[in-house]
Amino acid sequence: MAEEELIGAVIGIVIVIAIVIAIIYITVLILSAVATIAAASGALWGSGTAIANYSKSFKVNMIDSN
Amino acid sequence: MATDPQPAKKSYYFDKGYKDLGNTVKGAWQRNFVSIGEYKDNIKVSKSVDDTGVFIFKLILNLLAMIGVLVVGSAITLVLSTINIAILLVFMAIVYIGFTIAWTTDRIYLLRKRIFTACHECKEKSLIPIYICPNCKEKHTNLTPGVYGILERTCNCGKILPTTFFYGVDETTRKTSGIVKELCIVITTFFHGIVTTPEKVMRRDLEAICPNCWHEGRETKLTDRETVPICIPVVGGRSVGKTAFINAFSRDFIEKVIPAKSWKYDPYNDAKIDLYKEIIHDYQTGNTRLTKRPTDVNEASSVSFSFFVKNDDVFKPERLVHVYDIAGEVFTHNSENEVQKQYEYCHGIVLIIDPFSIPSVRNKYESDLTLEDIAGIGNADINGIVNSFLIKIREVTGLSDRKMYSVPLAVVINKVDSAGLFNELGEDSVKALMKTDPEKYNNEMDVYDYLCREFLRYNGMESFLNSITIKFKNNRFFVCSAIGHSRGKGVYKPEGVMEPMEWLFRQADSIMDRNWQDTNFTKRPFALKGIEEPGV
Repeated sequence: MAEEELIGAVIGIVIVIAIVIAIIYITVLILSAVATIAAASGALWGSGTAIANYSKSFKVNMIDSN
Repeated sequence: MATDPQPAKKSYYFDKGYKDLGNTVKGAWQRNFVSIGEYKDNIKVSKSVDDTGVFIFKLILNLLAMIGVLVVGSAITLVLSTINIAILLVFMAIVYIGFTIAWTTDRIYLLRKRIFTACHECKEKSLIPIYICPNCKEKHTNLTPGVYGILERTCNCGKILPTTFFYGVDETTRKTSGIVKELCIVITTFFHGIVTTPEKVMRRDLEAICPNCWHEGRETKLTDRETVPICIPVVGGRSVGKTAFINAFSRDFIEKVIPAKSWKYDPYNDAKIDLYKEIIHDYQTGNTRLTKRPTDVNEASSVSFSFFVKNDDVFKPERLVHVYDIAGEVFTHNSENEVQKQYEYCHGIVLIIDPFSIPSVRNKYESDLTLEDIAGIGNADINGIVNSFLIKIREVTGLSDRKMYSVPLAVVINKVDSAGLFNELGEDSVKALMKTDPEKYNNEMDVYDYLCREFLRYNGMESFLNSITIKFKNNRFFVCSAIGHSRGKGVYKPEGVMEPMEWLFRQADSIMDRNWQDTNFTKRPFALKGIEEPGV
């Protein structure tokens, strides 16, 4: 009986640990994905803004002024 | 290349291009910082307006945008600036190469064709005159390819001016400007080469003035039109017949030689048209004007009779003949109002001598001379005239006393119609001598040359002959009678005037040499052969 209980407890602990690891893993994955999306969005946003700004400046100073 | 400041707009790539590039880069960075500021403002506004959740969401979003613009945007701006600078540098290099090629081509053309401007007033030589903008009359002192434009430049007034001999400006079809214009010019020239049509305004069509006269406070208009000049000064003492020689040559060349060869005469300007009228008047009446040496030091001591010789099939570009009549007093009194700079660049010189100014000749023939002939004898010593002439040449050219002058010299014994001097130096004497030894005396002009030298030697002019032979590498003697009879006795009947000028013209210009062959000249008269030349 005691042996069975011990095995059951170990299995329970393993399952809990597995669930925790899985949750952490999924969280990290989600966070990484969110961070990647955020970084990509930031990069796209930044470069888009820079290109737009440069284009506007080019138009004003090099095309319109001539 | 155009280094002096010019009243024109600089080429885009050498002036405004830099400014535009600087402003573009500066503007891009400023806009980036403005964007970052806007995101900062968004966070501030969200903090005061939105709920905590929405605020956090907007905070993250704007922070991400700020970081994106600051990091990635700066990198992108840096890359775009570099690309922009590189493109501008490439265009600048293309333009630089373009105007270097255009400038070199223009210079090579001018030098190869021996085109230059010889001012008919100050006699100064210049390669590029000062061109005047037809619109605002502004003076362009260096209308050549440079930082103001490759093939054309825009005057400060907006008028487009051509900068090379080969490119014409047609304003009706040219409306572009800036980058497009410069590119069009480079590409058009590169692929299509020289494009000239009658409606295009070429550089030679622009009004021009002498740069030297302008620096001295005068405006001497030049109508040289990028032609090949042939400059021949006629020198000699007073009353030796220089003006009569020029009258006879000018009239007969324009009225006889030019039409016979299907060339075309074109007057230089209105003043030269008036001068030609005087020449014709003298020619018809058998008189000569006395070339005055003005007492006003601002006036020239020599007068040039200048005219164009044209024929599109023969002369490309046309020829501009300058025949300089220098007052005899310049040589007898050794005084002149201006340095005769034409000695430096002239293509030949005519030295006229009056044989009756040689004492032995005068003594021999005086009894046969008419009163008019005696009155018109040039009394100046020929040796003195030559020495004075040599001093002036040395002053102008800077040649040392020991060096020979390479310009051809035609020594012309004038007035041979008087007192039967033709018996000694005329056609009959030449033919008689040629019969004695046809192998040796096989060229008529060489025999004339020989007879002249012998005549002068016999009459005590050995020193004069030596001076000529020692100082002038290429010399030939001629006889002539410019008027053909005594002064004032009717229309000119010139003899022997055209030959010395033909010889000089043919020496000066290979095209003339091919197309004007009325007289047979050897390369070197036999009387000169065997005379040892000192080192040059």
